[in-house]
Amino acid sequence: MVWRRIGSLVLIGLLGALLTSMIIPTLPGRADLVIGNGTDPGSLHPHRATGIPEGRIIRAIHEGLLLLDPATLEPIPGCAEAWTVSATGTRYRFQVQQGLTWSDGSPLDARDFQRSWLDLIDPLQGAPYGDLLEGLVGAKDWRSGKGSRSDVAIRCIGHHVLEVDFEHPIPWFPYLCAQTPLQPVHPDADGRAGVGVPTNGPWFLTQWNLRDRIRIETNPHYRGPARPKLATIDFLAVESGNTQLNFFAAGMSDWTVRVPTPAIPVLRSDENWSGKWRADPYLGIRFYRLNLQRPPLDDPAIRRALSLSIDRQQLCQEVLGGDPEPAYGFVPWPAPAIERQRQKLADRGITEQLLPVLPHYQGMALARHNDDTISAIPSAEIDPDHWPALGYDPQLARDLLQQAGWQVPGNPQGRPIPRLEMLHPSGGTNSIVAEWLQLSWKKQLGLETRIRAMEWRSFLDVQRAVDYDLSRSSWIADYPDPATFLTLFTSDAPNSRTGWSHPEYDRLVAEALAQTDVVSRNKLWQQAESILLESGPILPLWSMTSNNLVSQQVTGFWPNPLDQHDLRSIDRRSP
Amino acid sequence: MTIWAVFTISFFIVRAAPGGPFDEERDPPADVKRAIEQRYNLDAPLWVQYLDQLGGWLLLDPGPSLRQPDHDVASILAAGLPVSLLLGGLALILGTTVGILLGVLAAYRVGSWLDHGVVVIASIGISLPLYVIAGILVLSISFGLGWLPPAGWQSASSLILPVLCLSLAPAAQAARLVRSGLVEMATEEFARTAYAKGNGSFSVLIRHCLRPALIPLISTLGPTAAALLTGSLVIEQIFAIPGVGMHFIQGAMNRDYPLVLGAVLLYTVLLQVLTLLGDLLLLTIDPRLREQDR
Repeated sequence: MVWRRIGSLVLIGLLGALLTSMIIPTLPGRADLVIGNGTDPGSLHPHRATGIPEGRIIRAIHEGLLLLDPATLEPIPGCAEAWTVSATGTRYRFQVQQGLTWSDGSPLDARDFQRSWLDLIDPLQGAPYGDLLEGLVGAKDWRSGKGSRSDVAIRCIGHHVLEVDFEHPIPWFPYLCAQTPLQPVHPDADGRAGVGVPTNGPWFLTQWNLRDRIRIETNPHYRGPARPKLATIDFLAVESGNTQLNFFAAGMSDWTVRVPTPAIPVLRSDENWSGKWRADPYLGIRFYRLNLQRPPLDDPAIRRALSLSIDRQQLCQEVLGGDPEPAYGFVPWPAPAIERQRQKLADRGITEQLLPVLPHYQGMALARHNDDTISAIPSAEIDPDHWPALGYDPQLARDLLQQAGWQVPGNPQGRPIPRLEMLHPSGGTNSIVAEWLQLSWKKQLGLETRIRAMEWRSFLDVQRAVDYDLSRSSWIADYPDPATFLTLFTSDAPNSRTGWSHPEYDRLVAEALAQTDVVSRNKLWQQAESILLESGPILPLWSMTSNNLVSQQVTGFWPNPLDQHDLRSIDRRSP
Repeated sequence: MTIWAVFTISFFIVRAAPGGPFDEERDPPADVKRAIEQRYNLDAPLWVQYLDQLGGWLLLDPGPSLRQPDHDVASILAAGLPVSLLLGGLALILGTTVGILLGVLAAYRVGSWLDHGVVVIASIGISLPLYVIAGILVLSISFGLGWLPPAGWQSASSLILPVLCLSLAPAAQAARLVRSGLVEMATEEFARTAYAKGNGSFSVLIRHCLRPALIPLISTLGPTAAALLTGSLVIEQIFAIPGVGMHFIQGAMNRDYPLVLGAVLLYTVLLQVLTLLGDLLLLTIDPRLREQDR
């Protein structure tokens, strides 16, 4: 009796162990590099992907016509061995390398790029980033139903030359050729990606365990210019920043892109961590959108006062952990901010050169002058030491309000300012920043605000309907050019979400887009940015940093403003 | 019938939530968004979409996830279910076994420090939030002692911490139920008869009182098991475990309609099956219930 019971217990135990081993995937050892990649990726199809975690994987398993130099971000040969641009800046011609193949060994040539790009533009395909190629001759007409696929100016000359024509010069087009949406898609992909769908990058997908990890391994058919150093790479899908940090601390990942904000001051100052923590200038801006159609925000005095009573330096230092820099313009990281970031890194013993985020553009900053006037000036004229307090003057803010007939602390005459509502998505630093702003405005201006936190999708819904007073926002560059920021607020822009419309601003943006000369073009961008800052619907807060925690065993990791790190150049030393 | 009602109610609740699956900070142009919605039939009238989804589920083919279109909803759930079942199952077995042992010990020495200790531990186990327990365990066992990985899903050792965390609440509940059951049974007439026959108090507890004392525990097993499976969301997030729970939460956040419906349906079926199993178990252990049926 006893033996039978023991026997059945042993049997159950064995069965359980068998089941367990079937459910837990067996990985053939640790990958050469493990990346804590943030959230579980959505689609890995180049035309359907929208997020940053997806892009990191897609650029490793695909190769575009061009790549970006990992250190300088300059476009370099990828599938195209050479390229030329016409004097008008509107015609690009690419010489596609001979003998290229997909990861299944089948041939790949210029026609695959032609087909993939046309699919990207195809209005019926619904590719979220199809508008990146709308500047091509014939593309806009096709997308608006007036033309057809054959009218779009993407031509193959033979099998190895690809030529495209744009309506206007698109100086950032070589950068786009390295980005996710312009990667070639296999003819049999049929809208899907995954294990078994051929790709053309140095690695190919071998495992996709949902909510766990994606593994890529070297593609034996790869004939591209940059031979990868790592044979296997794992991308961990981990939602929680705390868990990501745990993985990294336990040596189970070598590079992580998401850490909890409260940990940042420790990462910056603790000697075990500070050499691994990278917070580099990133082409992204955090700001609040203002609804100018609602009183009292239609009054410029209120908008100026709100901006002048924010001590952005304190916000960056005390609330955000010290890495971001105050923003007074809409195009992030002007020269003084970069210089301050360089000093901060040098204080931590990191002396690498920081690239300017935009090589040719000097952004504008809304600054208070000695005569108490406020206007936008080129940020290059500002001393980095004056940068932190450039736009902070609560006394001037109160004076402006009083002159405009509003009630301020210490002066009960005037109309009371109606209560404003601040809308933000829940999670992250959003609520602590909103509370800090609420407190500042209450203290400095006596202004009452209400904070409304909403779940992400509901928040987007309300923001899109412009049903808010102030709404938390951010914008990240699609390509390194001021156009990616300054086209956001034209009257016909799909993502303006403010109802703001300024004919002169629209005109300047259109003129800048059509201009080929770099100097004249930048002058036009500066004029447009000045209008946006002086009368537009935004309250810039800070220039964003890329947040990477990278093991010191990892080599070939270069900081850059797009936070794109070509895995072809990365290696990992043995401990 | 229940499943259909749950499906219908969930379908309309999910669709009433503001925002859509393809909303981003950078929205595509309006006509592109229309084309995407057309691809997933989201532009059809709601009742058409309802019938469409219902038909899909009846054939067990609800189509692709909206956020992860490279995967079908059915395969996403099929990949997560064994993980959640394993985690929940092990936690239930471990928790109940430990709980019964503690309950017996406490009842054997009612009023002693052992008894008080078990009651205090049980109260803590029930009241402490999972993320606090998980944090303490990760800090002490993974980083303090370096014995186990702090998270992940790659070997049997990565199961230990999450199962431990998850089993605390059922262990505490089982200990309390078994202890109070045994204390009550020990005063019953059959127990006194057993004592009178000269049996030792431990033997009376185990051989005579334990079986009837387990009945309250067993009647809660079905709901407890269901709660373990559905309640492992927090643990799945902290330990990065690819179970169904995360799909449920993320599906709702991403407005991934077919995935949320799939997760809701799966949980409904699980809840019903587990409750049924609990009832059957009760029937096998308690002869009085079988008597009533006759």
